[in-house]
Amino acid sequence: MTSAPPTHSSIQSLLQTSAYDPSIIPQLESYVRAQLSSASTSLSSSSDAQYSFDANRTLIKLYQFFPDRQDEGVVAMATLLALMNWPDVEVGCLQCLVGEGVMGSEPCATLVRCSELLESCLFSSFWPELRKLGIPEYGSDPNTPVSEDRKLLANAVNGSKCSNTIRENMLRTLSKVYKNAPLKNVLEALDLKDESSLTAFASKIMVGASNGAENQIGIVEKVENGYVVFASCVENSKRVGSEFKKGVGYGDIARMMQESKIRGQ
Amino acid sequence: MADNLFPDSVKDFVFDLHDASRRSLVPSEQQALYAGSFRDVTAKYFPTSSWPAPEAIASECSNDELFLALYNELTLRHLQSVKRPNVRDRIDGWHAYRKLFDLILSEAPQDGGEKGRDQLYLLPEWCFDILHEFLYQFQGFCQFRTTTYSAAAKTADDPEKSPASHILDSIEVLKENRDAWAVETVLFYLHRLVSVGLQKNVNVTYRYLAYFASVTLSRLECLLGDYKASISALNVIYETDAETLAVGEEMKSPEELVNGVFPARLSLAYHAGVSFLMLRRYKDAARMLGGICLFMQRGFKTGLLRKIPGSDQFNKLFDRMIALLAIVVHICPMPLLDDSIASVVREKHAGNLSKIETGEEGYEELFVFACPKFINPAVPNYDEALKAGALTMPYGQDTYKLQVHHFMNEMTAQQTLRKMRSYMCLYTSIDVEKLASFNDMKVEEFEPWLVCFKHKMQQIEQSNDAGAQDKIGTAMDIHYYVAANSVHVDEAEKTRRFENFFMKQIANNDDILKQIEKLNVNV
Repeated sequence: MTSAPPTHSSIQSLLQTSAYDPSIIPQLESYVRAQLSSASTSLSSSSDAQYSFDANRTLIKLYQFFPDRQDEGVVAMATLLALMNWPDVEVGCLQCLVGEGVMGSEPCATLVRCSELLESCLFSSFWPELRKLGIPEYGSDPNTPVSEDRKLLANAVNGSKCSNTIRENMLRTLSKVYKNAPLKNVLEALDLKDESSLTAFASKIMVGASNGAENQIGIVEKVENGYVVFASCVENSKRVGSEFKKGVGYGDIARMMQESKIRGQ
Repeated sequence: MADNLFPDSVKDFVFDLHDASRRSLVPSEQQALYAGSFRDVTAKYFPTSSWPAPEAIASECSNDELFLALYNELTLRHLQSVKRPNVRDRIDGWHAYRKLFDLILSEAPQDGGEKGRDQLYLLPEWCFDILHEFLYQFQGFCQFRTTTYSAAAKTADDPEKSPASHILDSIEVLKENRDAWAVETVLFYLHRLVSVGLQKNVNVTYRYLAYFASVTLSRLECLLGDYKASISALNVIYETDAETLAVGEEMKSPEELVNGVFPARLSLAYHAGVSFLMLRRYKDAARMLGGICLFMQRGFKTGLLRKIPGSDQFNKLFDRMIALLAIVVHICPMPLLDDSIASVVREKHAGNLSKIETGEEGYEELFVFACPKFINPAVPNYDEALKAGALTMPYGQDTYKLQVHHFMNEMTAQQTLRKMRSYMCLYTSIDVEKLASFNDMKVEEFEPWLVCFKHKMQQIEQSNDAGAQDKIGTAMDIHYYVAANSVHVDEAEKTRRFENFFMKQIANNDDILKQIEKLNVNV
């Protein structure tokens, strides 16, 4: 009988009390699997297995301290979870902790390549690479059975949540550069078929965090004449008027005068 | 050394220091002993040798176990500064620190209780020196065991060669002491000192230890390559609602406490600066490193820094931080530094920066010079080193190489981005196709770079408002967006503003006046 995976709160408690005790490695590994299982479904993640970079990073560091306990499959899963959090620098942070031997062999090598493509904003080239990870046998020894962790990784990659999360992050990045972008380019970048798929996908993505508030604005304003028009924001619009930069605040001057006054007494 | 062979000044020193740290608890007395008498007695009687062993002077301090552990650490620190430690010395150092921390923690007050409240006082400098040396010895031990392993592995392949006897001896001792300087135990002690010292109603010495343990933890995480943890470790120091604590006669915030011990301030700034750089937080790196370099530049001119023990290392660290700043300001052309520091950066690294401008490699040279000595924390399997075909690094781990590789990966895009920026600065709007041709690329190849530039320069920044959360900002000095196949560029305001210059000079003058007021000019 398999035991239930640890909950988010139990993991947080472990990190507070026993962060560098190697005996917690199995629990942290179990939690990585739980996070990835949660990412494999299209349901919103329950709070029990919410993404925790701190927990995953602590595990990767424990592997750094105890290399004979290292599980490359788990490293790959933690890297995929970090990839889904792009454009945060989490994949880079993990790469600073994992040896080149592990990152150089599959499936981590393809994950690193995916990360490089995201960092270079070569979005259309990203999707074929990501799809390779959706094949459990990809990059593995044909004489070795595919592990359960590798199947879990493949399921997560093939699940809609992983793709849609990365797609949303790409769309937000594009919206900071483009006021309007050629539809063809946007479809290729997001690996979507046509305008209706883009409209359906983008209708759920709001400027800023999606919190269900009524007056939230969709990130894509419209698709017109072969162009995707993004909602205006500070990033994709001209700066209005001359930006008067306050050189020094009243508080700074008041503080300076107070300190001089005290010394003068 | 028999009791009757000790100079009286040694006995007096031990007695008085014990009194100052365990009974009278008077900071000024301890300051005179720790910073003054210890140095004088060492110079006179033990310039290149060890002080008497703790057992020999135990009667002078009533056999106080904790004080003897403090004395042992203090004198071992001196010995290791004058004599290169061998493997057994390093292991002895580990046992000394373990014993000291176990005793400190055993006397710590529990959850607001009265125990230990007034039984121990250590100066802030003393607290930091203990922790700083603890990590320095840990770092040295990690390097020592890696080089010993590599030396053994290099000769393992050749049946006619065998490792030198001192290497084999070291390997045997290391195998017998696998737990020595274990990274998880080092982390345990640092975390424990932080958590114990931040309890309510705790003895002020434990609070000193907590904050300096945070500085040390930040340094350790940076050396392991965990930059997010390195920055997070400093949160307790910068908490806006942290209670002030007594330092001598004054009440200070945790940040003021750390800044009051210059080596701690320097260690914090350097390692935080490296961590910010590796996290792509260029503005925060510039603020942190620029601030400390400006302070040091002033300190070198006034001679203030020369009076601080260990000042011979300050110049080296200053040069390394200037090299880091050269990298940062090259990536972010916006004015981030004080003019005086910016000119030092230009003077010292004009050569490297012009190499980078012409497309040659220059970032790696700067980084390799400036970065800390990253450590491999895992305990090697020493038997593997003696087998034929052994990897020269334990487990093939090379943390240093990994960090350099990661840094250079980040820098590969910078040359193209700089070229793009230089053309964009010339226009208020330009066709994407034309801009692509200036960059010797086709449109399809160039368009991702337009997105990449904004992405790479997006960063987290510490907010200027105290207590506010970090915010997302940009390290770019220009603003652009793309509409209808044209790139529209707004350049950063170029008008030179003078109020900041005057405010800065007023603040500098203020600092100088404060230092003058503290001088004792009685004749």
